[in-house]
Amino acid sequence: MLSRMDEQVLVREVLGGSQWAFRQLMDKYQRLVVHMVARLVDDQRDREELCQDVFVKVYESLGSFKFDAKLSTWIATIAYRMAVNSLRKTSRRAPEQDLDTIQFSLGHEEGGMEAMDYAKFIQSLVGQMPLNYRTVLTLYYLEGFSYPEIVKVTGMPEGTVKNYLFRAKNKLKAIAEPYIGKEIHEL
Amino acid sequence: MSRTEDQMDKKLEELLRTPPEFNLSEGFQDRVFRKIAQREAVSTRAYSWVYALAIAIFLIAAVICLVLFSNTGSLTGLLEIGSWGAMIGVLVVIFQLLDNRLVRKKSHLI
Repeated sequence: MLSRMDEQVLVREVLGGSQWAFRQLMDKYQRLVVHMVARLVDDQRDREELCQDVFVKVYESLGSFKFDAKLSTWIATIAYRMAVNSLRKTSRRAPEQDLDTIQFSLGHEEGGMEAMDYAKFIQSLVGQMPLNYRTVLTLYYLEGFSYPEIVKVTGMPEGTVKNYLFRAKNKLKAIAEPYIGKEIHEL
Repeated sequence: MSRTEDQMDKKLEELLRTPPEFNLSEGFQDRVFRKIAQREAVSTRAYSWVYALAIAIFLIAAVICLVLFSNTGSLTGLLEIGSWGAMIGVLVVIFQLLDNRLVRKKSHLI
């Protein structure tokens, strides 16, 4: 990630009309936007379109960025809001259930999982979680955001963010333990 | 926390840090630039229509006033009012142009 000083220089250059600077900005934050969108939006076709729209929005709104937060937090907020709006518009997802009432699909027979599939397995479980849980897990683990930064992006109270993280992790642990635990015991 | 539980936590966190398998296709950035250019073209067209409409309304109003007051002695006063109106109109156009160029700063990028 860029330092505050570098961010300011980059933003000023984009606002000054530099195409090169905006390409730099996209290079730096593409990973963040891709992760947010890929975790929140299920439809493959919508993902790339949404990533494009996020950067168009970033470009059009950059003049209103006041450096009161990190640029990554601001861009993540745009990506989060646009993903949520896109999901609302398409309404392809069923109404969100509570984490405890979800029947998680494991996608394989017990004992039939290779070690290299664990990451995919966890991602599939995360993908079945309600939107808010997926968001906080993505921002916290994948992007390394702090609690205050997640609060800024999602607008949830800090206690709720911590609670979601705690519950999501416990749920994943409970489901994945028979598989991952076995590997750990074998070590 | 037991050692196994601790290892389980670490493993889970490691797996949660694995990025989802999704990559943007080649030419992604170029498509973003194209989209920005398209949106700017639409917005410029909309501005042009508003300007054209405003000028048309102004001219029609001026013609109606000229027709209505041409036979009365107040034509000189009317022309004076008209010149003030034209000056305000020109200032509004200048303000809009400056706003587009200095505040929005969009047009140079593409």
